[in-house]
Amino acid sequence: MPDSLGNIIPRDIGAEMRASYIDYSMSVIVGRALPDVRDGLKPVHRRILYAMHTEGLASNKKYSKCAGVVGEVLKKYHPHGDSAVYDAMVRMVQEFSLLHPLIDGQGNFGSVDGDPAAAYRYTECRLSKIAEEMLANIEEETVDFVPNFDNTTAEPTVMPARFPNLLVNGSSGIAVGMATTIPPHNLSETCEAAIALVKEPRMETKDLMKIMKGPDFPTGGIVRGKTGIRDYFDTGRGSVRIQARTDIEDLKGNRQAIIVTELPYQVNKATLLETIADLVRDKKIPDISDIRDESDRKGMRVVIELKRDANANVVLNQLYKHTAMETSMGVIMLSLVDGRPRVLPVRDMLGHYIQHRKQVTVRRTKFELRKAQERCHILEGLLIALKNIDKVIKIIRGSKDSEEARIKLISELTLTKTQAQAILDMRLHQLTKLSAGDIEEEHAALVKRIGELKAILADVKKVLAIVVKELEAVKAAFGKTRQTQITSDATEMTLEDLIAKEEVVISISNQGYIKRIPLATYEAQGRGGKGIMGAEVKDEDWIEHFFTTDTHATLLFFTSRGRVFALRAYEVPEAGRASRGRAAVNLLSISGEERITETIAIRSFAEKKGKETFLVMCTRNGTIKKTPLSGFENIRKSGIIAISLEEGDVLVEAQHTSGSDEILIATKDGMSIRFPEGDVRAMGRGAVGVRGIRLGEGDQVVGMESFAPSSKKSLLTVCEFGYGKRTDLSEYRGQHRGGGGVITIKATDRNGSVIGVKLVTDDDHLMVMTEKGKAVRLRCKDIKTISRNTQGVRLVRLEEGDRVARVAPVAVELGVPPVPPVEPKPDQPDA
Amino acid sequence: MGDHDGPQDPADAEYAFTTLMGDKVEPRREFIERHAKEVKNLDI
Repeated sequence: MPDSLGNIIPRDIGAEMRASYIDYSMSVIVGRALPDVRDGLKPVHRRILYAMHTEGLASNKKYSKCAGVVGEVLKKYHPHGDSAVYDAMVRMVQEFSLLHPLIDGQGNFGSVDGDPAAAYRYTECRLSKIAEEMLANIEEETVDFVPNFDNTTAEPTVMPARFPNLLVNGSSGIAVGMATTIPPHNLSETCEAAIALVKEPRMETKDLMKIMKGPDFPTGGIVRGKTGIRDYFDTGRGSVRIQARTDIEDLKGNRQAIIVTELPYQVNKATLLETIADLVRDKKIPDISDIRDESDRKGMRVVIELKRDANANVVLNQLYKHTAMETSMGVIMLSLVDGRPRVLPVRDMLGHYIQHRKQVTVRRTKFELRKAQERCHILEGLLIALKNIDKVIKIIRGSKDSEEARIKLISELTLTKTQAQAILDMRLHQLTKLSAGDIEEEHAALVKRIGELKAILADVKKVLAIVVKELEAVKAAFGKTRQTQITSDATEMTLEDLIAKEEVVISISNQGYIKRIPLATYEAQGRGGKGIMGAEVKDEDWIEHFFTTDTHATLLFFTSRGRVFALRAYEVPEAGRASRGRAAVNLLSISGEERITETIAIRSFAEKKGKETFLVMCTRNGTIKKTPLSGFENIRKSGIIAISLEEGDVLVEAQHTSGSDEILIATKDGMSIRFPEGDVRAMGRGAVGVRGIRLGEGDQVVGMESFAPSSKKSLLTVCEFGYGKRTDLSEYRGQHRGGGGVITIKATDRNGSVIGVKLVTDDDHLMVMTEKGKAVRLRCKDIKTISRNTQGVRLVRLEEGDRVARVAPVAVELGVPPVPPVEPKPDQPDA
Repeated sequence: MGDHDGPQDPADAEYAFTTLMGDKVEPRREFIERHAKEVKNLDI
C-alpha cells in the first residue's frame, strides 16, 4: 500500500459499511420512524406540538398560519425538510387519519379521496383541546429536556401525555429492518383498560379484551374476526381484516344498489371507485350497472347500482375480494422503549404508559412541592417583617443602599437572603392589615398543601390514584362511542354463505330459457286439475326441463352434442312463475347449433373413498355410458366432453348412480329394459359407451332411470295425451343390457307416444308440463298402480291441441345432508 | 498505513453488502439488533 496518501485513511469497506449502517439505521429507528411507547409520538410530531405550545397556539387562541409553525419547527427543533414537517402536521389535523386529531386546522387539509392539503401559506392551525392534554404540565419539570440541534434552546424528549396516545391514535412507520403498524383504539376503552391495569397489574389479555374490544378506526368500518385482535393484543403481532360498511337498497325496476357508507382505514375512496370501474369494464364484476359518489359534507355515500337479477350479496362478496372494500392490516406493535425498538403486547404498552404517568405525576408533585416550599419560605419572611414592621422600616430608611439594608435585615431579624430580598421587593400596599391577612392565609394553605404533596410522594398508591383520576377526567371530557364494529365472524365468506340454501325449481324451456323459482310458488293441486300457468312462453316454445334442487347445487348441462357445462343453481336468475327467464346461452358458452338436452343437479361433488358415484348417460339410439362423477367436478366455462356421440345421436338422459344401482331404459313406443348398472363398465368422459337397449324400427329412447336393487318404488310412465300409470318395479324383471326389453305401456292412439318415465313413491309429487306451458302438480298416491302391460289412466286434462312436454318429480327431501362449499369455477378462456 | 483495519477481507465486505443492502429484511434486522449498541453518531 502506498505511503503517500496524505490525509486519506484506508478503511476496510466491510467495516465501514457496518459502522455507517448502524449509525444510519439506529438514527432512523430511534430518531425518526418509530413512536415512543409513552406518548406515541415520533420526534417530528413531538416537535410540532412543542413548537405550537411555545408559540402560544392554544385551542382557545386564534388560528395561526401553518407556515409559521413549519418555520418554527425547522428553525428550532427539526433540521429536515419543510414538506416532511408540514405533511406530518396535515396528518395530525385529518379526522380520517387520527381518531383524536392533535391539531385543529382551518382550511383544506385533504380528504379521503386522497386530495392533498393546501400549501402551508394558505392553511391555519392551533392545538386541539386534546393536544393540550398531551402537553399538560410540561413546564413543571415532568419530562426531560435536551438541547436542540444547535444548542440554542431545549426540547422535550417525551410528552407528559395525559392519555395513552400511542394506542388511541395509533402509529405507522417504516424504519430500517423493521416497521410499525399500530391501529387506533377507542379512547374510553383504552383509558378504562389503563385504569383497570393500574388496579390489577397482572391482568390477562382476555380480561383486557373485555374492556378494549379491538381497534377503533376514525373511518369506522367493520372488523371481521377476533382472532387477529387477540393475536396482537397477546403478542404484538396480528392481522386484522377490515371491511367497508354497506347497505343494500332496492331501486325501481326490481333492481338493487349497494350503498357504501364507511371504508376501511386509510383506503382512498377515489382510487377505490376507479378500481371498481376497471373491474366492471374488464367484466370481472359484470353485474354492476353504475357507480355514483353521492358523498357530501354530511358523510360518505357511494352508490353501486346493480343490473336486474344480480345478487347483491354476490357482488358485495366480489367487491370485498377484488377491491380495497376489504383490507387486511398487519399489526406490528413496535415502539421505542427506553430508546430501543420493541414489539409489545397491548398490556405491556399500557404498563409502560402507566409507568410514565407515575413518573410524570411524581415529578410534577416534586416540582409543586419545591415551588410551595420556596413560596412558603418567602411568606414566612414576610410574616416576620410584618410583625416587626417598624423595625424593618427603620433598617431600610437607615441603610445607604439595598445591599446594606439586606445585610442588616438578615442579621437583625434572622432572615435568609431570599427572604430579605422578598421584603425589600415588597410594595407599600402590602403593609396594610388586609394584605397581612392574605399572607397569613396563603401561608396556612401552603403549609397544608406541602403536607399533602409530601404524603403523595411518600405513598405510591396516592400517585396511582392521581394517575387514575386524570385518566378518568380525560375519558369524561373526550370519550366517544366506538365507530368500528367488531364481529366475531372470521371465516372466509364463500358465496354459499351469502346465499340461503333453499329448495328451488329450475325451469328450462325448449328454446333455452332458464329461470329459478322458489318451490313455494307452486301449490299442490288435485289430480286432473287444469293447472296454473307455469310459464309465459313464446309461441312454439315449451318447458322442456323442470326439476327441483337447492340453490347451492351445481347444475350440469348436457348438450345435444355430448358436452357438459356447469352452473351453480344460485347463478340462475330468479324469476316469477309467469316470467320467461334468461336465455341459457347467455349464461353458458354454448355454440349456436348446440342444444341443452339434459340438466342434472349435483348437490355435492364431495365423495367418500370407496363410495364413488357415477354419471350414467343414455342416448336416443340406445347407447349407455358410465363415468365417475369426479370426472365432472372441474368444468371449464367453455364446457367439457361428457360422451362422444355417433353421428345423429343425442343424449337423452343422465343419471347420478351409486355404482350398484339398477338401470331402466324406456322408449317412445312403450318398451323398457332393466339391467344392473354393473353391466356397464366405467369409462372416461370422452368414451362412446355400449349398447343399452336394442330399439325397434323408428323407436327411440325417451327416458332412463336408476334405482337401488331393493327399491320399492314404482315406475311412472306419462304419455303425450295426458295419460299414464304407475307400475311396481318388481314387475320389470332383470335382463342383460343390449336386449329388446319388455312392454311398459301400450302406446295406443289414445295415449300417444311415451313422453317420459319417472321412478316415484306414494309420497312423491310430480310436475307435468305441457307444450303450452301449463304446469300441473300431482300427488303420486292419487295415481293408480297397475300392472305393466296396460294402458293407464288420465293424469292431466289437456286443452285442445296441447300435449304433455315433460314430467318431472318434485323431490320432497327432508333432512338433505348439507352441501360442503364448493368454490365457483374460475373463468376460463374459450377452448 | 493499513494498520487501522488490517487487510481488506473480500468475503467480509461481500457479507456486509448482501446483508445490509440485499432483498431479505430478516438478516438485516438481526444485524441491527446485534450491533445496536455500537452506534457512534446518532442523528436525531
